Amino acid sequence: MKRLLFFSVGVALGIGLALLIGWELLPVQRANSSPAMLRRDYQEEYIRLIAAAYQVDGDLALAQQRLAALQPYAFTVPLVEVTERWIQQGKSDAILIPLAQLTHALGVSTPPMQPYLQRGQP
Amino acid sequence: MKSWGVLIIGLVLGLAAGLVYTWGISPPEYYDTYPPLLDKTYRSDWIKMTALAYSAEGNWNRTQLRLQDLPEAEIRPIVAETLEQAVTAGRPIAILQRLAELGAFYGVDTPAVHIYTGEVAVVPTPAAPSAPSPTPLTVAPTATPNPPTAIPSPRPTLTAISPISTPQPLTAFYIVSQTFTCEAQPHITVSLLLSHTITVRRREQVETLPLPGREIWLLWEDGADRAITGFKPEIGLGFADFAVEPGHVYRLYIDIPQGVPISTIQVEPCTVEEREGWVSRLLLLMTQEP
Repeated sequence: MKRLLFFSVGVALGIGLALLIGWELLPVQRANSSPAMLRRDYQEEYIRLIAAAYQVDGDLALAQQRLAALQPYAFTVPLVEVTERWIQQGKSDAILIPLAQLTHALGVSTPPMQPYLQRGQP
Repeated sequence: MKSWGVLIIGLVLGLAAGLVYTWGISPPEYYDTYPPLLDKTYRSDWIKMTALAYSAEGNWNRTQLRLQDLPEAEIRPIVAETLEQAVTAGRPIAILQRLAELGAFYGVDTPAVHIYTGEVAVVPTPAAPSAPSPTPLTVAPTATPNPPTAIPSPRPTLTAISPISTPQPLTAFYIVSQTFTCEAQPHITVSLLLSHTITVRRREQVETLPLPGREIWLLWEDGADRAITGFKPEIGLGFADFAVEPGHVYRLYIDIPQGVPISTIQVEPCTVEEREGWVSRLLLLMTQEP
């Protein structure tokens, strides 16, 4: 009876220690996240990269697919949100024009973006 | 067995079972992650977009931050592939140069990188076998330097971006062969080759290599055209092609359009036996490594 008690205590301690190690101290890091699981600033960078890549390759379907990896439904929402917030923050044309142009190409165009669309025209 | 022995056995079993669960069955799900923890497909896409963004924006610091902690072995093939795709798609030269610059930094060793960074795989020094010797010249760079990028930052030692801006040493070329064809739209194709001697098992062997990144000039009475060898790697690294018109006398130069031309060419009609058209020619030009 006493041995069973010691064994149970040992198992409990072992499991507790394993949970501490496996989830807190040495958690396994698997490279399997999606862009939606990126930290917020990296998500914004991801959106900016999509717009910059679209400037070069002009592949709208691919840009759309990339945005959908962030948010499958209403995939233009994060793009519009970031663009408008950065417009408010007064970011540079070099950042905002590609974003506005991609947003426009995806069929969304809001009043704050208009000046950037005009400035982006060749 | 004593009680403490039973306790340790239980502890070990519990620890093993717990680690199997926490590391294998139910690892923690991460939110607020960063690019190196993206799934391989997304990670590759991140690298590709970063390369394209650098080609468009030219922001070196930001590019380095975007690629931070990503393994170079993973970056290298993606940048190489992106450059190849850009070359195939006929993207502007500035974009190709930046992609090549990025590739060179990460150790990409492809012909496209050599061409668009302005590196030439083999740079021979002047040698004059049986060629018309060019008159002594003061070599001046033929292109304007690139404007500085937006954000100056410490960079690795890279060669000049533009293949055009790299002054090449004067080299004596001689015509090895000419091939004539009859075509409706005549052209002159030039293939530059370097002959050099290598020693294999104490035996000397002559090897010929294509010469990319060299300027070929075609001058006529009231005009000039220029091409760089190797801009179509799928054809060959030493090739350059010109469309020509009948009625002109063309003078062919390598590197600098001055002095004695390598050849003087007139576009002639095909002979009677052949079909109607104009004579196009492929010139193989050779130089030797000293």
